[in-house]
Amino acid sequence: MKFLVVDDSATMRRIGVNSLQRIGFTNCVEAADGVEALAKFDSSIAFVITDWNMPNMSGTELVQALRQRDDGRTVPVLMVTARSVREDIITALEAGVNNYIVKPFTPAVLKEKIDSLIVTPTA
Amino acid sequence: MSNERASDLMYDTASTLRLLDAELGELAPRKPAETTATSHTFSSTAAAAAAIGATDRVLPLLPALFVRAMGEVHSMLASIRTGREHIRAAATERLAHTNEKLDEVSSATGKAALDIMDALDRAIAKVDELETEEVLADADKGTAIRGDLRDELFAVMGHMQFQDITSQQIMHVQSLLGDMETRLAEIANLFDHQSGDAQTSGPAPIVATRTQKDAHSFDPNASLDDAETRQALADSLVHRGSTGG
Repeated sequence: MKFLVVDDSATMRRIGVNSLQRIGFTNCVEAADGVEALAKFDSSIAFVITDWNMPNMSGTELVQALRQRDDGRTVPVLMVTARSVREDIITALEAGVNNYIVKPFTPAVLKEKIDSLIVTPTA
Repeated sequence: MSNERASDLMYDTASTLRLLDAELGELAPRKPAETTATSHTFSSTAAAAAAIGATDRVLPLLPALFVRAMGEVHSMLASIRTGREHIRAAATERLAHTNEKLDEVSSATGKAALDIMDALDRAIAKVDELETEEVLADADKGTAIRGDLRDELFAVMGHMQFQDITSQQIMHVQSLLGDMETRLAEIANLFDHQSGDAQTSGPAPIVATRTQKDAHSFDPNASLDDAETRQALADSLVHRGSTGG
């Protein structure tokens, strides 16, 4: 399962990728803003984890752009951001975000949110 | 005080100064080149009479002009006084807010440093435990302790999230300083007699130019505090959205 990790902070991308590896997801690509993320996104990406506040294109703008694409319409998107006021969370959900993590986060919370969005095939 | 109100006050003050300058200019003696009569015609009686007549018309107007000038000066001073108080209040409020944000940065980095040192202390204790005879003799126990050690070291990495949060807090402070810089530049340019347009004269702001580029890269409310409470709010809203409630 391939993850796209989007954050303008190199520190946060590193923490995000390492956290994913820690819980078993080792196939990751990174992007520093929404523009780069859109360029790197394709049908092989199964999950997007994105920050909100980024230069050039924000996380909410990225999600809205992804939802306009055939290959991005249903991809799970998890927003990981310092923004935590009610109006912001609602804005993100209305933009198409599937779940929301407030920084700073723990690996346990990350795993919980990813698990909530991964559809497990029934036997 | 809004930017618009401060700009209006400064514009009114500048207009008053220009009007006063124009009125006082009327009182200044004319240069010879500006007179309609040439110098040699002053020797003629007709030209002298015309000059005396003009002076006679102007002199009675002088008291009224002076009174008007005084009135404009008083009005201008009142505007400057009001503008200064508003600017001082806005600057004080912004400086207090900037100071508060810098305190948050200091506090966040201090807490992160302590958390990191605590995790490293626990990690060192695990290493010590690994070297005990009891653990060296028990492979399972060694595996478990190594797992704990990895968890502690990984926790150190998690604590590094403070860098992202404090970075956003600092960018917010920079934006506040950039805003103050822009206001100060506008005030300085207002009194620049070389230019009639306060918006275009003077050097470009340094901090404001840079912070405009970073304007969308930070959350002004970014914080390390109460992460669990804020996450709980997010979870409740996500759940409400998914259930349609």
